[in-house]
Amino acid sequence: MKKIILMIILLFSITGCTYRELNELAIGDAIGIDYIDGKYLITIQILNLKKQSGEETTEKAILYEGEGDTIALAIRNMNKNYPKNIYLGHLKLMIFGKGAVENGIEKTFDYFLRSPEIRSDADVIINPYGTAFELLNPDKNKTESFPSDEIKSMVETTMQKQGNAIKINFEEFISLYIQKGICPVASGIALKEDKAVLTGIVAIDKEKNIYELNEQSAMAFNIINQNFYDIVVKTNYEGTTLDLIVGIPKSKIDLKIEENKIKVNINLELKSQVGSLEKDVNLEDPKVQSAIQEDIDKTIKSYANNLINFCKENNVDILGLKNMIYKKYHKDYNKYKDLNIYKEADINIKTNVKVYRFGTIYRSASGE
Amino acid sequence: MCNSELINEFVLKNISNLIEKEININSIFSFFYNELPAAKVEKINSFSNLYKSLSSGNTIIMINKETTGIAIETKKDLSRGIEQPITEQTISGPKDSFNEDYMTNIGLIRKRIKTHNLIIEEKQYGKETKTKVGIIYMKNIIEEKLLEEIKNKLDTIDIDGIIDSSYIRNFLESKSNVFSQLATTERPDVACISLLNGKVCILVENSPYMLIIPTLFFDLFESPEDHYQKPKNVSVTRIIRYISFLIAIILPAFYIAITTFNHETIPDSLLINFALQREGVPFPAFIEAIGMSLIFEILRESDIRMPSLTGSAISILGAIVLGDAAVAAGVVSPIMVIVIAISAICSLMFSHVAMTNGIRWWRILFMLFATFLGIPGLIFCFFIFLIYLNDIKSFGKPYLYPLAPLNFNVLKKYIIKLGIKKDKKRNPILTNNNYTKSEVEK
Repeated sequence: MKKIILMIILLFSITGCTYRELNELAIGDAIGIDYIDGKYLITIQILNLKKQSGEETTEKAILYEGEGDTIALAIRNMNKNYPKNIYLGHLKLMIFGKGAVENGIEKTFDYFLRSPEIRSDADVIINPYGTAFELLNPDKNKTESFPSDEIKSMVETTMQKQGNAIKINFEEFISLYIQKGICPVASGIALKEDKAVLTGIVAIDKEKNIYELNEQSAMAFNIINQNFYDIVVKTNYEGTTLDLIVGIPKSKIDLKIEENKIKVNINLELKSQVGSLEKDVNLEDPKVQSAIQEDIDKTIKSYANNLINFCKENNVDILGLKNMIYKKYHKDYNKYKDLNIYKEADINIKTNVKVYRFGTIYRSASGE
Repeated sequence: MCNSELINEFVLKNISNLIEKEININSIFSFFYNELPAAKVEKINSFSNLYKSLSSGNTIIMINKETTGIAIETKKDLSRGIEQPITEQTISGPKDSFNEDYMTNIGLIRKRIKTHNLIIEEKQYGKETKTKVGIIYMKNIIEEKLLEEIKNKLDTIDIDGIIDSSYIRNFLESKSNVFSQLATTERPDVACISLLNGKVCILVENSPYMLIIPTLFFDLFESPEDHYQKPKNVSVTRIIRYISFLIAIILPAFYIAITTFNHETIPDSLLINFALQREGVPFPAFIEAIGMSLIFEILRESDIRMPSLTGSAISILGAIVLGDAAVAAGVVSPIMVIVIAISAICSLMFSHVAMTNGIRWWRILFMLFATFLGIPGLIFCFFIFLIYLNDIKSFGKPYLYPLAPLNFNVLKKYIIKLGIKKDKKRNPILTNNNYTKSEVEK
């Protein structure tokens, strides 16, 4: 008993300084990082938890803003205007503005990695046209909206169902950034007519340039990275439009250096089902089936070529071919470090799409 | 004290018949001593014996010019009948229980174990009360060392009076352990099961509660019902009991830890929920939790003390005060009411009162550690808890057995109840004699 009493007394001397009651916290949901005129502008979306007596509890977002020479200073400066402790342990979304990227996105990493409190699995999104602040600033008329939640689920469903976005969290993003010979990518978002709209996939190179992938190459990128669940691809069959739902991607990239020549084989395997038909086509005919299969093969191949062309033009290595060289042929890496590898390499794309399901009806509903 | 019918029938009738039977005046003494149709007739030689005999309810016959008196047993039966157990109620199984009468209690045991291997050693303790204490054990199963240790400890008793078995219990328990080192039972069936497992029972005169020695920590998780239900169903109940023990001691501390230190450990939607509930509550989480626990303990205590007729009023009042008004007034957060209520309900699950009361201490200690150090503090306190239990010896047996020292086969039996057909071995920590249950050697 004496020991227990002694222990309790000793407890008082080892109290941690992180004791904070829940209601004293300002729980940060999303953070926006901008760099404007030599100063960081940090915007944090806080969950406002006000309980009005007699009424139902309402959750609405409020914004904390702070400005400073560094990110840490900017966050501390918020407390001049706002009363509560800012808590970023439940951060869901990080938005980088154009300015922050152009100033060097790597300069912002350190603060977020070093702080033990900040969660590193928040999703990363980049605004290639404007600031993060304008995206987070909720519509004045719609006070109950949570821009961060909307953006987050928008990115996820777009990636799964449409293929023109990528969900990547802060940890993955940094790991891409730090690895040799690979460019980090993230989803792009911009404000169009007072509404946040996804603009596609954005790639950043070490020279702080921002490149945007077009829709087809973004799809190809997601196929190669096996990211999506099912997406719709439009093809043409004998002059009519045919929608195919493509899913279950499998991909393999082989890279070989033979006699100083780089050979890259990209193998794509997909399964697909017929989504919709405009004209009456007899799907039971094996010839028609194989023709459709060829069509979709070609389409996917053209998407992949589109992606390779994009990489070639802009000299961004988003597929990480140099990274593969670094891993496989470590000694030769320096030789290829500064080359535009997509120009040098002999890239061979093979696609194999299997149409395995034709839906519940064989003929078109148009009935011609 | 006396049964007047017995006195009328056997003593007074015989005295009035003295003349009819023409008994010589000199042979009156031998007539009373030899011929009276009473079960127990004793000679009284001294005054101290006379007082003791009188206060036991005997009738004393003193004859003029004789130096010896005669005591005839005319005791009135002052004990209540054999009733249903109150504290250890079950759905199935026997429904009789011990009462305050020593001989009745022995009878209830003898009724169940009929061999000569059942030994009852009787001793007297208490200088004024001269209370009978019976040490009951199975001769062919018991471990000699255990019996010796118990007897040695009993011999240290030096007190004026023993009113209840809990007096003996205080002498036997070596360390101030909040959980109990010996169980009490008012069920003869539970006592018999313990005897057959190689434990010792101690019966105290005027106490309906029998002590079972030794009792290990995991024994406290058993309930009398366990012996009479289907084994598979009992296993589920036991697992629930272990889980609820953990919930009972840890849950409030865990809640404090996650809401004051380790906010990152819970999903955000839950965190928002907690934060919303706590909005406007004036006290820190620890004070809130202690206050609520205190109110619960007060309610529990007053509910036990009140006669059952008015007891329900307290429950209603408690439910309204705790559940509704305190939350509406903004003194406590609703989630704290839920946390304390769940942990309190879980602690009431055990049939041993010592368990329920012991949980209280540890719950508060866990809360303290969580308040100062968060989840690491909670884990630290859990280590202290294990070390503390591991340190205790119950009559020479490790208290945390079969967890420490680990005996996996026995541990399995404590968690998964085996059927009576399969459960053939006795607990090896208790006895090595007649290890297999079915093959009892003489």
